[in-house]
Amino acid sequence: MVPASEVWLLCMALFASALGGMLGMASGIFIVPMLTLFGHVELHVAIGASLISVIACSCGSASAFLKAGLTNIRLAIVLEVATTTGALTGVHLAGLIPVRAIFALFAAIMLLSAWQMTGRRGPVATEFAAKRSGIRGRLDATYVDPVSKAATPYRVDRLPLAMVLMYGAGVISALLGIGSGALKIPAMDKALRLPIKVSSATSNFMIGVTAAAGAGAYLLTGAVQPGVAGPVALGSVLGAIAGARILHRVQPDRLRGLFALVLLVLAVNMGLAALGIDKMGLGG
Amino acid sequence: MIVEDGDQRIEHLLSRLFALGTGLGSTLIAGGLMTGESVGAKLVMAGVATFVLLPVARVAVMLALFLQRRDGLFAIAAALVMFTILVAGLSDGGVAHPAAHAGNVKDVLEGGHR
Repeated sequence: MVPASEVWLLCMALFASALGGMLGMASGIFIVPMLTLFGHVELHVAIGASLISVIACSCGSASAFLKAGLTNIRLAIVLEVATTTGALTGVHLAGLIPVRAIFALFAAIMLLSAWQMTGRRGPVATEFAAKRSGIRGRLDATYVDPVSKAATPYRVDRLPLAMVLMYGAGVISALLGIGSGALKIPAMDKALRLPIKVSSATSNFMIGVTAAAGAGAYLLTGAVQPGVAGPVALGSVLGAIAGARILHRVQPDRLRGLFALVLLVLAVNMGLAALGIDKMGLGG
Repeated sequence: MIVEDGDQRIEHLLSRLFALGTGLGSTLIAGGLMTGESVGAKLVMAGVATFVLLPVARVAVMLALFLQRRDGLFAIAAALVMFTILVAGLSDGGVAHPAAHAGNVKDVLEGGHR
């Protein structure tokens, strides 16, 4: 029979993933703290399991997002050049930077993101007379908002800035085993000024690739243990599928407040981990 | 996402790919968890490998389709992503170093292969 611990892991991952899927964020951000703090799993193994669950989560919801026509795959592949390079860097940095320093930095970044999302922003740049030339013109697109059913065109602005941010997101993804959706979505929201649902769908699309780039290294070093990664990944997939179904029925504006709140909660979590992880005797 | 004609076809294909891949990976993991023992562990890891390879397959599909449509700009992007994933995936970088990671890293490494 299935060990009780694995059932528990599965349920935990399912809940976290449904929440994440609903917000368009990968659940990886919940996984590592829960596994290390409550599951007493070694950090190395937790990150490995988290990366797999992040990929599974992304894959599980990708189908629904694609069918809804929200994902900008061209933008995604361009941004992925930056995120995967970041992941490559992150994999190599993993041996150099103390994890607590990373946690503290991450908590700060999330607080910043939460603050940004609640702040006032300019209107989405939709007014344009002629199609723009070059790469930016090829990325501008139209999406049909599933709620209002309006075909809304949008442009993609400030790509270089976004590439830099995506590189950073890739580094953090490989270092912490998260999907960095919490970084990617605000980056696409603020830097590129995309409609929030497009940001969510496109970020989710990219998360799988970014995490896969980092996962290889953890697989090679045997950090991915079937008894941990298995239940966590399975729970994540089931939760993500459920969560994604709910996402494209929610009004766009409500997502912002939800994002900010979740980011705030996560920032506190990470801050505590940065301070408290030593007390658990895990070193680092 | 209606960027250009033909994008719908790519999206449809990718949607099917993810649905099938997710189903396969989930089934392997679920089967492995219920089987248990070393056979179950191998099934679970097969499911894990399926999930890790799914985004890679996605990039490969996009690369093939961009090449087929002679879309140089995005084909190059896809090729770059593919290359970077392979390089990153095949390097264990600093992940194995005990300095950055806490816990019984030695036990983990002894169980795995370098």
